[in-house]
Amino acid sequence: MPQPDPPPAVEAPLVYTSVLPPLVDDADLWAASQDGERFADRRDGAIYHLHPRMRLAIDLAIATGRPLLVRGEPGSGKSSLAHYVARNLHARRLEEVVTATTRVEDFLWRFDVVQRLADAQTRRGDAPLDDTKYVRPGVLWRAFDPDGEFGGKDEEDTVVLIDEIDKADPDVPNGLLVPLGSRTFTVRPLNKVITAPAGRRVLVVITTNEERQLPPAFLRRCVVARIPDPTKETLTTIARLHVYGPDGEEPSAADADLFTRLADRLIELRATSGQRERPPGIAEYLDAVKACRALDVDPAQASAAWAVIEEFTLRKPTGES
Amino acid sequence: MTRSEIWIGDLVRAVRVLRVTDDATRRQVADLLGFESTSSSPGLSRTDEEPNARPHPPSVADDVRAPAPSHAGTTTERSLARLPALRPLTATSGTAPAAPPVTAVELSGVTSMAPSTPPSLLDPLASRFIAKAMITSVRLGPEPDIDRIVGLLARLEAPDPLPLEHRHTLARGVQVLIDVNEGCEPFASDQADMVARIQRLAGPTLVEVHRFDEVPDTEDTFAPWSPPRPGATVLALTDFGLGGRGRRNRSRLVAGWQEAADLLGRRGSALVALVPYPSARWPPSLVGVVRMVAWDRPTTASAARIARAGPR
Repeated sequence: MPQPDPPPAVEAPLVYTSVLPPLVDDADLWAASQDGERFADRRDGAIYHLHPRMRLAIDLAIATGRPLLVRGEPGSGKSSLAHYVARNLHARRLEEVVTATTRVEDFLWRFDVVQRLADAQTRRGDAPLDDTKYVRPGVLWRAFDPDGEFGGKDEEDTVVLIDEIDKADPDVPNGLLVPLGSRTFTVRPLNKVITAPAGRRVLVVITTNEERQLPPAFLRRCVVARIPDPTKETLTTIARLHVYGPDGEEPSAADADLFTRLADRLIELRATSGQRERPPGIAEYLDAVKACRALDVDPAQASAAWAVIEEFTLRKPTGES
Repeated sequence: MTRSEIWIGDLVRAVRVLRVTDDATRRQVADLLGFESTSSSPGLSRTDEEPNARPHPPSVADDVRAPAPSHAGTTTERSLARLPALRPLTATSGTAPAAPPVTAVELSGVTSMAPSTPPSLLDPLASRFIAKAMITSVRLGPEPDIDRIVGLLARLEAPDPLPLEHRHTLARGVQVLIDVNEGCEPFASDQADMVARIQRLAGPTLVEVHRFDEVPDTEDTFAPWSPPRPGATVLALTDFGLGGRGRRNRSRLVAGWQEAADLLGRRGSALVALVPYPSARWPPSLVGVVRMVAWDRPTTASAARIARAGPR
């Protein structure tokens, strides 16, 4: 039984002059990528439901030249935010997904030892190999791009997404302080200093699922914004956006009812999820919406099929042993 | 040169560039930049309990103050500045009615008092770094250690085996052993705090917790201990039987710990321990077997790092 909505929190409107162009959804891109709605994780930035506070955070990051650290639960739209902003800015998009073995150098350059080994085995004569040929640019080198080798132009923005920094060892964020703060670093194998040109606008968006505490020194150098918890209104709006598109018609009565019921159920599960279950988020909600629509299952019927859909889409273990 | 932390200049620049004119938006701007605001949006405020909330932001009311530079003042001064009662008073707009003084009559109406939280065993400012030093392990490679190779070649010695770079990592995971024997009862909240801190540092998926009574025992009937995956650090939060009456005699307890350390050593795991007693009281026969650190205020991250590295 859906619970009555709590009164919405009254928030004062944010009054300022944005440095961003109007951030709009792209109906054509959305339509082109529908293909049976089999999109699990949009990375084209076509649509996004942007909270005004997150928009202010992006403005602040650009105005101050600081990295934007986006906090939030898994599936809350942290990475999608970067893609959405990049598309609206017509910016180059660069991305590095962090893992437990990611090192600071991986953001700056990599040495292609495999290629060098292959060349060493097939070379003829005694001429030594030129090690500088095996240095590959990392995501920040390509973003700063002082020589315009990688498509960087002064009048064009670049958005760098450093995804899930909390997966890295704690030393990695500290190691990024200098390259991100001063926009310069040295490629040791080449003894070459890479410095972003003065006119180059680089927005660095860093995401964290907060699985691991980040160093205080790193936090103090970022604009830190947390994606707000989903409300019933935001969930139904997001569902409508994803199913009907930015310029779509009003949802059918059945769909409107589905969006609302699933939003109620999700909020209920978020409130009751214990230590063994992770609170479901927007990604899980969209999965449930798509599953119910594709399989023609009505959550109101309390059927066995709905029970299975709920178990598989909305109930996620924490992953702890 | 590293760019400085966010400071008042960032705030001024943001307010100017974004042409912010109203107080509500100014507060949001200040909040996103890490300045503490006296009022924040409902449901959006950060707390110190959140893992990545900005640490110790300064207070801001209608006026805005910058975070103190990290190099300013002594550690004690910085610590005191974070105590709300010792923060300088902040001017507020309007004239607030003065609060009536608290009288003895009002205090006499208090029927119960919440138990005060005992101070933590470690210096709160250092505990994060001590915990990190204790659980970080060293991984070799994959990159060769060029400096050592050059040194060997310079001495006309063959680099065999090839020296690999040492990298500090938490990726191998941590097993935390919590001693629940009677003598550890006074330290139960410190144990819980340490587990929470380690989970924040390493991530909950990489932290395994096992409770034991006096000695981790693979053949314990109720809670058999299993060593973690090879290479993972094992951190014991234990008093080695110093504080309780103890079910086992001392020699059996020591033998049990030696057995556990041997087993872990064969699996490439280090056994480290935080002990809430001074080193003079540690069991001498375990000092070389378990890498122990005093769980006490004077302990520093550097001392923990040295103890964690073990004998050289």
